[in-house]
Amino acid sequence: MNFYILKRILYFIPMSFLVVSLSAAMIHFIPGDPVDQIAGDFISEVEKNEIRKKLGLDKSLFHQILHYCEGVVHGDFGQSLIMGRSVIDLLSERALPSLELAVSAVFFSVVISIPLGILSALQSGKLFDFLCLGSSLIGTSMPNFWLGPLLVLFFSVHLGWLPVSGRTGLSSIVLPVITLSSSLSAVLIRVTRVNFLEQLHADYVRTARSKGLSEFKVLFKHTLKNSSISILTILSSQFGTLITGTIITEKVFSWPGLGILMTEAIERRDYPVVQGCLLVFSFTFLLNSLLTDLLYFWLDPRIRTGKFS
Amino acid sequence: MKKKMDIRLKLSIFILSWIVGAAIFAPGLTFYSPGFMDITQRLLPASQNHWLGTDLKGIDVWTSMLYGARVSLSVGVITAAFSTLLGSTLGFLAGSYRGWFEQVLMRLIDILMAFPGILIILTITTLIDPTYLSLVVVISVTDWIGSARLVRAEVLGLKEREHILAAQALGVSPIQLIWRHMLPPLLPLIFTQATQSLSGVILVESSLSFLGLGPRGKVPTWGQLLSEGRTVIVESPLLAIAPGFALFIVIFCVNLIGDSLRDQWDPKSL
Repeated sequence: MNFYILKRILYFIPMSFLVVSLSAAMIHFIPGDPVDQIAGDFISEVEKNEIRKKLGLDKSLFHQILHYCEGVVHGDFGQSLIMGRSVIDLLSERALPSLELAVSAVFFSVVISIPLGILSALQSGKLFDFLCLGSSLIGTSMPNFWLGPLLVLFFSVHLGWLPVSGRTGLSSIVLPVITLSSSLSAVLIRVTRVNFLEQLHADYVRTARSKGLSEFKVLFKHTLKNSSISILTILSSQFGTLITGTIITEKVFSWPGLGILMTEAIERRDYPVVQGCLLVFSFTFLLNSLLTDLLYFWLDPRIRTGKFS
Repeated sequence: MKKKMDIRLKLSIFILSWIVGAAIFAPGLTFYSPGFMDITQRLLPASQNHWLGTDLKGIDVWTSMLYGARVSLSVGVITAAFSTLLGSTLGFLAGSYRGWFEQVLMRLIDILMAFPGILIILTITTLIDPTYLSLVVVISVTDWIGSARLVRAEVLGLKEREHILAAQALGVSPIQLIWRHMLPPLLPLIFTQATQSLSGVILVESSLSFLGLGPRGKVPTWGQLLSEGRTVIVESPLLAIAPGFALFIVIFCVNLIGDSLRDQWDPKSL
């Protein structure tokens, strides 16, 4: 067990506590009486008190946070104010579709953009490189709430090949995945390209070539391995964008995931559900940076041996 | 190394100035007043009277686009300018004076960065009803971080450079030191960061509008137009295509300006 890993894991604990506390405290930052906001004016004082009790607003902030943390540890995120179901039920029902979408999008962009980035670097300055860079610039500038409808218009309405929306079988995931992965792929192509351009002139590549390694091995074994850290860094730094993208893509395609759950809950002021979604998203975000750091440890011998701080 | 102004920069500035011009001179470019609706003229296709057709309520889409540009662009520019200025100042102070201020700032940044920015923004919009002003503040809450980190890191390096040390040894006043010796090398970086921030802010604002959480004013933003147009995309596709295209072009041009400036000013990047 290395000090680096230990430090990193220990850091995770206060951060997750912070995430839970902030989600719990969120309701307190509502200006005015949150119950008025939730219930409106046409409700008796008795009923209002009931909601207050349900949300735990009758206790102090400290107690509320403690109570919420206790609940979270036991898998109890409270009850939805509107849908009459427990938040944990809703979350677990919606988590899988979101995960499915996000994971396929990441997989798709990695599989597409790393080879494209490599080819673009090899063809540097030629037409192919220009096309790759151009489409990558278009990809970063294309809002996915515009790309999505355009794809629907062309592939579903015009050609009738793919379903317009919903989550019905394999064909329905195609357009959402393309929409979600567009900006990630664009960034990945650029990073892979720049990295390869730098590495292709490095000494170790010349050595590898001069000892007669096949070009394939030079590229995929040596250079890719050395570029993996930067690629990982970018993938991890794009996680926030991925979450935003998931929320928007779900809305565009009526994909029944956490993003839709959250935006609907925000519109209806269903605070316990908003809290739950906030918690899940922030937690995966934290987990992402933890995993990234652990992967660095595995990928980069300098970190592993502690010679690089 | 001063290069010739590159074609990307020229082209994007050219296109953007047309769009900004259209937003400024909106009343002169349309026959209708913003929000004027004629319920008998719903969902018309593009024609001579309605260049981009009409929407669900019978409002001329071209007019909405022109006035929407005012909102979308001004929210973007004001927010990006505000947050870049704020971030750069904080980063500059942290880098120059170090000490407890730097510590507090960096911890705050750590905490803010532990959450995805969009969630912070979504949460705040849950709590307060968004207006144009609150939107500027809310997006700035997370947007200043980029420039603060950049400027701080740069100042830390800059302080050790010979020309700064020499100026200090010669007894140049702190104001002169900052104004004459530190700001000039920082400005290109800050400006590039500002363009990045601008395209980011425009995207965030339109995403929020698209999700139905944007500012509720009289004049809809491009994101809101797109969101509305999407519901009738089969009947009149132009309603969703036009505002999306406008957004895309603006973001594309701003990104292109950023890219071109980075290539010119940063010898390290390829």
